[in-house]
Amino acid sequence: MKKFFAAVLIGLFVAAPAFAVNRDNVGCGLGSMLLEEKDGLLWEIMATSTNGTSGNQTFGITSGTLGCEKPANFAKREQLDRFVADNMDSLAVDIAMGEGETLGALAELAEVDESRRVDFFVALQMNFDTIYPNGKVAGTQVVDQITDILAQI
Amino acid sequence: MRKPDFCIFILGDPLLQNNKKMPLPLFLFLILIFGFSGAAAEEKVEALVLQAEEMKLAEHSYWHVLYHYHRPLGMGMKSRIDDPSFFISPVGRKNPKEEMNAAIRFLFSGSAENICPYIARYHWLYEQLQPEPGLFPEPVCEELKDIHPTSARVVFPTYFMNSPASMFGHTLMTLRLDNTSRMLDKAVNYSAFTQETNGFVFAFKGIFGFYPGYFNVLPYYKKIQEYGEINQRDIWEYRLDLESHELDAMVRHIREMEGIYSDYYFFDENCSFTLMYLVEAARPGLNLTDAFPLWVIPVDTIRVLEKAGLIVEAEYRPSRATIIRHRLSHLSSEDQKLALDILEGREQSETVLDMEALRAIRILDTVIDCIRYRFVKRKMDQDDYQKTLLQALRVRSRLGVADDALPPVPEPVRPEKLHGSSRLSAGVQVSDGKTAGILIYRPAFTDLTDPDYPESDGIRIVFGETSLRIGPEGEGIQLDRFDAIDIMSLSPRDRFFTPLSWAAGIGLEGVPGEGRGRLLRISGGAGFAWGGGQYGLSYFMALPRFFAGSGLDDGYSLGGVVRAGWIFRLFEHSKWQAFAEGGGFGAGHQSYAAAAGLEGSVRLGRNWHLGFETMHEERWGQSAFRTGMALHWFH
Repeated sequence: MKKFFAAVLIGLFVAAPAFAVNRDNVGCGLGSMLLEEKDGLLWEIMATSTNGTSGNQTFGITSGTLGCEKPANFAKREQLDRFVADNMDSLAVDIAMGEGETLGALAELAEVDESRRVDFFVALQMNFDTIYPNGKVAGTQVVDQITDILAQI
Repeated sequence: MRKPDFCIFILGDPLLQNNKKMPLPLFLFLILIFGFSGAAAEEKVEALVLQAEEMKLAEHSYWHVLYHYHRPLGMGMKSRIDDPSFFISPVGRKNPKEEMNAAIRFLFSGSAENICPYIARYHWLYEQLQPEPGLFPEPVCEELKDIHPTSARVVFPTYFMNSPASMFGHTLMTLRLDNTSRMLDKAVNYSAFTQETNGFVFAFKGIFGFYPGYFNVLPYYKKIQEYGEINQRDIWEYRLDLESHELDAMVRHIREMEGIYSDYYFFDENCSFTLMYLVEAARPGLNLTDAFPLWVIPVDTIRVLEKAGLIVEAEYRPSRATIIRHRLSHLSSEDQKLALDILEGREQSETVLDMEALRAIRILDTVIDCIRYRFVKRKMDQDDYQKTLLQALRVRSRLGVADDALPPVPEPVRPEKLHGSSRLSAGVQVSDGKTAGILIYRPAFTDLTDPDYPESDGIRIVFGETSLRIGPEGEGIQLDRFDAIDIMSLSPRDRFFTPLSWAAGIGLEGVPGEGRGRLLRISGGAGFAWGGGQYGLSYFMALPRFFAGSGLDDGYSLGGVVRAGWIFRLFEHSKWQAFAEGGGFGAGHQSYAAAAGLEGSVRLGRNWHLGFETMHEERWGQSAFRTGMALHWFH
């Protein structure tokens, strides 16, 4: 049965239009998270058509042990840094829109009480230009700004 | 191959690993050694081995779950786990009893330096054997001390536009610990590990099990990005009816599987299948892994879970593309045009500042989502993206919030509630005045006239469809058609989305009346589609075709057609396709070719459809007219 499917699948890709595989160099800042795991359409189709997943899975596994040797008050910052770096794009969008799932998760990680969240989100939205002065801003700078704003509300 | 740095630690707060103490079992082991003489200890362990034999624990279904034991083709017992380091006995992979004896001797003697890699087995054996407290190491893994999920969900990213092959899709498990935001759940994912970038090699090796499959754990938001933002797949999240002690058992099994590989087979021992073991490990007595044929389609695993009463609720997470389409449906044509102009730089984002707030927000939010979409689709480079996005966000941040900025996205029918994946059909066909019976079996999955799917999903995925013609009188049973694979993906184009539609297929066919015997057919092609709303979906495609067979001059025929089609509904539970195509064969057996027809399906019930077909076809100097009707049963 598996041989049969092999023939089928190979047949499909002989017949299918050829797709180029390319890999862009990725900088930093907005967009870098979304780019780094793309390897071209053929790969994407292969990976998704076959339950397979490209070797993009190791993220977060090793970094889960980061912070082990650090005192407790750094742990929150560490978590925030990681979360913000991983979700740069959707966080920027949520902050600009003043609401969203990523913003909710950020508030949870920053341990902002439910009662203060609306104020927190409004403050972030109003300070969007300060938090994101340009597209190359690093995650840690974003966290610095957010922490400052949080301290002021 | 990349070695997966699998680590359960991420499940918990990173802080939890601060205190690396001496492992408790080692500590207990030392006590044991000095506590009583080696010989006496050995006796007690042997007593447990005997007790386990008397209790026939090695035949217990839960023992088989923990080891992924099964009986291939009803033959001898074998584990699906291929990593030798998982087994304690050298013959353990094929011998559950030897493995159990070895496990009891090894684990209860305290010989394991760290009990965690064996914690699920040890915990269960300890529970079953109920030894006198204090004699043996406690079945506790320190690493898991603070990892107690409160809920688990099976996450199913459905197929995505323009890649019907994703019907095989993926499923993963998410665990919620002390967090409340869904994004912060932990995703437990089983997948093949490879850095292969050649699609053919990947397909071949994947089918024959050349890649090791590993479980790994990562933040769920990584998966949301992968499926929702990059692949544009809507996601369904199914909360499982599991209690906290059952979730603890699942975590123990996940811990045991850390860094352990099983050969990964795309079609059966794949992500969705292997995930069933996590559920079986959570609740003893479930039998989910026996429910599958030779292939495992992810949506079928959801059905199996549903049947077992394990699904409490399903939540829908639309992909970025779905959200954009939804946003567009709430914009007037004028506002859509403005959004497009802003998106393409002909207007400034600031234009919306003069408008009423809700209108401005809806336009700009559409622009923002489109920028993200275009970027992941590589229609924009990163510099351009950063600049454009930031500019739109700056303006957006001045608009505040609006209650109804994004009206709720309507939920489609849950994928497991649609008809079954495979289909058996019986009917009659009249060709050139002769009547014959037809019998068709299609293992998977759907076609263009499937009334269960909306018009915007112009999707045909046929795998292994075998069609037999019985009669007409005197002609016996013949293979009418065999579609090893036949795919057509029609994605409508509009101002915002400009996808290509494409088709590919390989199979055998024998046209009655042609007398050319069976022909091998390889076809493919590309084109455009439009519409997808209430006026149906129309398409235009160029389709090269290759036929081979002894019935053709020179043994082959190479050419192609252009094809136009329209897919529409006559009434709610029916879907129809009218098509016409024309072209010719220029190499090998030369001729012109043309065909036209109408086909459709009417939904009678969840798993019953009635199909109609009528078409006229001309090629190689012969013409055939056929019309037919069949009853389809999905299961």
